[in-house]
Amino acid sequence: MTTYAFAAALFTLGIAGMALLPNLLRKLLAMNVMQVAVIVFFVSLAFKDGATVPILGQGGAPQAAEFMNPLPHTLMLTAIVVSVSTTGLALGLLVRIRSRFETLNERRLLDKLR
Amino acid sequence: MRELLPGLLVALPLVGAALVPLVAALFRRTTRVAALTLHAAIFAAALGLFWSAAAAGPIRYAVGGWPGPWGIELWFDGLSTLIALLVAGMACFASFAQTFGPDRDRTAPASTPLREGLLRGALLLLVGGLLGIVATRDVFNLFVFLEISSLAAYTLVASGGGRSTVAAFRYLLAGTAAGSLYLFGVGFLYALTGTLNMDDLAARLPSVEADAALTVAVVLIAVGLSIKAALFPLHGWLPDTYVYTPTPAAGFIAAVMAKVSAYALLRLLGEVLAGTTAGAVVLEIMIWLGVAGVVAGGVLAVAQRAVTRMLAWSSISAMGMILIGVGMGSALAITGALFHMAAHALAKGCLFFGAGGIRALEDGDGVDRWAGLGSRAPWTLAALTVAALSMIGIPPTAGFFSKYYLLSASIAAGGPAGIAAFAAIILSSLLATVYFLRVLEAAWFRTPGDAPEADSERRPPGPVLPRPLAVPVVGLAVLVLLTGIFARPFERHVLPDWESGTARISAEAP
Repeated sequence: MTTYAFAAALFTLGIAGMALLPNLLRKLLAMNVMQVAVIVFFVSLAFKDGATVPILGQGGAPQAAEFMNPLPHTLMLTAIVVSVSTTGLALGLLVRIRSRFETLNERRLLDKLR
Repeated sequence: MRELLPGLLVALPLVGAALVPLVAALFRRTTRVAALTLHAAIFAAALGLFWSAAAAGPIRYAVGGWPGPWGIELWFDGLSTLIALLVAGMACFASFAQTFGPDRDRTAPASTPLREGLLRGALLLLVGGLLGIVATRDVFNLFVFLEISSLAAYTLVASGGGRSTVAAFRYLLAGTAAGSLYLFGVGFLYALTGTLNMDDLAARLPSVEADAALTVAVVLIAVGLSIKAALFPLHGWLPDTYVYTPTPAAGFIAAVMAKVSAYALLRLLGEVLAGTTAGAVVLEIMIWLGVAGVVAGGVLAVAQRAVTRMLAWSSISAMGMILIGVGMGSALAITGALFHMAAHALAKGCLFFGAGGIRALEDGDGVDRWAGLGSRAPWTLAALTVAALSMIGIPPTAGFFSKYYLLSASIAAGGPAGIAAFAAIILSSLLATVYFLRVLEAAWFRTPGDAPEADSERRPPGPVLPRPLAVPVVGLAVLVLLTGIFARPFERHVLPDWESGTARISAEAP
C-alpha cells in the first residue's frame, strides 16, 4: 500500500512540476519523474513477499505462490523504452530551442515568440 | 488474402518507416516514388479489409498466432476499418503534399534528400501508429501505438524549425502526460481484472464493479485519452501545434491525429467501460464538456485573425461535437460521431493544405492575403469553398449529414444534455458561417487592392498553390462531396457492427 501511495505522490509531483516550473529542462525532468511513478506502480503491483522470478527450479511441481507475475515487469520494459525515446527527442528539441532563442525559460521564450 | 491483410496493414507502414530513409540515403531520387507506393499499398490493404469486413463480417487476427486473451489481437469491423481507411487515405494525400517540402520560411532548415527521406519515414511511422491504435484489441498495445504515433508526430511538428520546435516541445509534454495517465489507468484495470484484452476486460468488469479502484482507472483513462483528443478544457496543446506544423504534416495531423484518440475513447469508454457506473458518469460528463468545447471553439475561431489559427479553433469545436456523439453512445450518435470524424478529417485536411500553402506562398496568414485569390485560381478556391461549406454543414456536403445525425441523436437522447448538445451544434454552425464567410468573401469578392496593405505588384500571377498541394486540396473536396452523396450506404455499413458489438459485450457480461 505504501508503494502505491508513493507512486501516486510521485505522479502528482511530476504533473505539478510540469505545470509550474518555469524552465523547459526542469519541465522535462518533472515529466521523467511522472513516468517513473507509473513504472514504480506497475513493478510494485507484481511484487510478492518471499516470491521469486518465474524460472522453474530443480524438482517438485511449481507453485504459483512461489513466483511473481512477470507480465507487469515485461510491460515496463516497453514503457521504459518509450520513456527513453521520448526523453531523447525532447532533449533534441531543447537543444534546437536553446540555440535559436537563447533561453529555456518559458516566460522569456513566450516574450520572444510574440 | 483475408488472413494476410490485417498483419500487412500494421506491418507495412512500420517497416516502410525504416526503409524509406535508407532508400533516401542510398538512391536519393526514388524516395518519393517509394513512399507513395508504400502509402498506396497501405491504402489498398485498408480498402481490402474494409470490403472484407463489410462482405464477410468482422475479422479477428491473432498477432504471431497467439490467440486472445493471452496474445495481442487485432480487430477489424465496420468501425475500425472505416477509420483505418480514412487514416490510410489521408496519408496518401499527405505523402503527395510532402513533395512541397518545408514551408518557405526563414526558420525552416533547407531540404536535403536525407531529410526528405526522414520526414517521409516519420509520416509512415505516424500512419503505422495510428493504424495500430485503430486495430488493436489490447489496452497496453494501444499505449505503445499511441506513443509511436505521438513520437512521429512530434518530429513532424518540429520539422518546421523555429517556433515549431517550441510548439512540438509543448505538445510532447502534454502528449506524454496524457500517455502516462492512460498507462496508470491501464495498471489499475490490470490489477483489478488480470487481463489486458478488451473483450476479456468487458467480460470481467462486472465482477469488480463495486471496487473504488475501477473509478480511478476509468477517470485516468478518460482524462489521458481526452488530452490526446483535445476535449475542452484539455485542448491547450492543439492551436499552436496545428498552426506551426509545416503544411504537408499539418494537413494530416489536423485531419486524423485527435480523431484516432477520440476513436480510442469510443472503443474503451463507449464499448468496454460503458457498462460500469463510473464509465456511464464519465460519458455523461463528456457530453457536457463536448458542448462547452463546441461553443468555446466556435467563439474563439471567430475571434482569430490568422486563418490557420481560426481553423485550429474550429477543430476544437469539431472534436467537441465528435465527443458529444461518443458520450451519448446511441447507435445514431455513434454514426454521427464516426461520420463527423470522416467529414471533418476530409474537409479540415483540405483547408489546412490550402491555407498552409497560401500562408507560405502569399507570405502571411491574415484574411486579407486571400483577397482576389478566387479570380486567380478559381478551381483551387472552389475546392476550398466546398470544404468550408462542409464545415458549416450545407447539403449535399459530408458535414451536413454528420450534423444531421448528431442533431437527431441529441433529440432522441432528450434531457438537459440532449437539449444543450442540440443548441451547441446549431450555434457552432452559425459561428462557422461567420468565420468561413469572412474568408470566402475576401477570396471571391475582394480584389487585392481593397486590402489595407496592398502590394499587388509584388505578387506573381498564376496558380496560387503548387501541384503537390493543389492535388490534395481538389481531391479532398471531391471526396467531401462524394461522402455526402453516399451518406446512406455508409450508415448501413457502420450501424450493424456497432449494435452487434455492444450487444456482444452486454451478452458476455454475466
